[in-house]
Amino acid sequence: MLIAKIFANIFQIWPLLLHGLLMTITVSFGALLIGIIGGILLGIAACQRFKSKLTLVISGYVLIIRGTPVYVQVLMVYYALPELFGINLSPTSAGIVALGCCSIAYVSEVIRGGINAVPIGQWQAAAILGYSSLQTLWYTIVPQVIKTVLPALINEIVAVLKDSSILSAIGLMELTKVAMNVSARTLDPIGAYAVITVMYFVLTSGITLIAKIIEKKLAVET
Amino acid sequence: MITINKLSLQLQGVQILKEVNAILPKGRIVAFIGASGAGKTSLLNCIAQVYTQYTGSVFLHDQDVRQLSAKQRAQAIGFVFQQCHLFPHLNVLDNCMQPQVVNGVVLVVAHAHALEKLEMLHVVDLACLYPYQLSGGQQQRVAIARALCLRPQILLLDEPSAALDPQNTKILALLLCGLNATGVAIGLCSHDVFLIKSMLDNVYYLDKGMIVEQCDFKRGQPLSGGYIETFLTHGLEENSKDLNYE
Repeated sequence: MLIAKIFANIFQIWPLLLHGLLMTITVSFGALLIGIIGGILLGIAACQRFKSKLTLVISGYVLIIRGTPVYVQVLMVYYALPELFGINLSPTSAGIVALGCCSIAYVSEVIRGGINAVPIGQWQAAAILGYSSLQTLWYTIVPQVIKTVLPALINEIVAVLKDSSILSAIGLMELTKVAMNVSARTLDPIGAYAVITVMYFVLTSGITLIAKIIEKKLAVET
Repeated sequence: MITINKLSLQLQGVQILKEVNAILPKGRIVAFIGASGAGKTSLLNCIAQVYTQYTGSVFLHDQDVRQLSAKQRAQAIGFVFQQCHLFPHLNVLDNCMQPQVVNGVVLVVAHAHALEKLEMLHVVDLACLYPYQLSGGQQQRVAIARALCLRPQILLLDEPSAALDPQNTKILALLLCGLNATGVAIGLCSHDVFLIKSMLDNVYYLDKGMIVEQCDFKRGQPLSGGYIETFLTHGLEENSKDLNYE
């Protein structure tokens, strides 16, 4: 009887949850776009080879982001930024910015570590052969770094996707928030939460699977 | 021709090279010998601009090497590292082709030229293999081919026989002599008596960052009974026997 009721409920709430899923994917995608592009740039700027004063600024940024909870960062961006600088963001943009800025820090560390792990001889060999710094990065370093950083990057993608559930705190109608609303209205704590659990799991597993395939394609023993 | 003028190098407060003067004449073989830590590798690294923090000057013909662009320098001076430093993600052929393409050579020409150099070094059969699939000697020949692909007038080699057995050292010596016969000047540093003996031309002896002796064998300069003669007859042990290893 109970199970039948739960399934009937799920059938009813399905369109709402799909809407939430779409929002979760949109926000995560936006945040990852910022995180990965920004993280790659910052990671290159912070690696040993290009050490400068900027490196110190970047490590300071990483220190702050890594040292504070994502939840607090989201609250800061949505509630404190308007007061501090007069920047008003919608929950969607605030969520993308907060998760993106957080992701930048983690991705930059992954990239920095990956680049530093390439032996200095590779840089020297490329320089001797007339490669410019950019050419060295593109032709020599990136192909070697991709393989080593891919697992850590996939980790980050999955983490951002899951962290997006925190955005329910600022009223963004993403998957978790929708499920909370639905379960409050239907007074059924099982159906909605069970469905979003499966949804998150399928999403993250899909990403992991794709990553494994890419990893296999890139695998040339060295 | 490369002229080295009062070249000094300090790395992290340690004086590596002190006022080194040397000449790599056109079409000749110049060997820098000396004990480990004498500064041979550092000297080659300075000539090839791996290290640029030296004082003094390195001239290519009559132009300061520092003022050359990276591409100009790469096409004038080839360098083979002791550890080869082949690009691990590229196969042998691409290792030889990519530097040419980066230096503005058309792909088709680069391909033909790379094959020609690989053939010259007897490694053309390995063109499709990756560096990790090669032996030390093969890696080195590929590294030499890669350096030659940019048609340098001067080829520098850092301890080329360090990873080679006597048989391969012999092959390398023959190969380098053959290369020299085509007009490429060769500068190398080594403490391998056999290698130096089999390509005896112009030898500099380095000790504690300074050139302490020079001998031009091709011009028939007689040995003075100093470091170089001791090295050639007894190897390095004799010259460093005053060192205390207790």
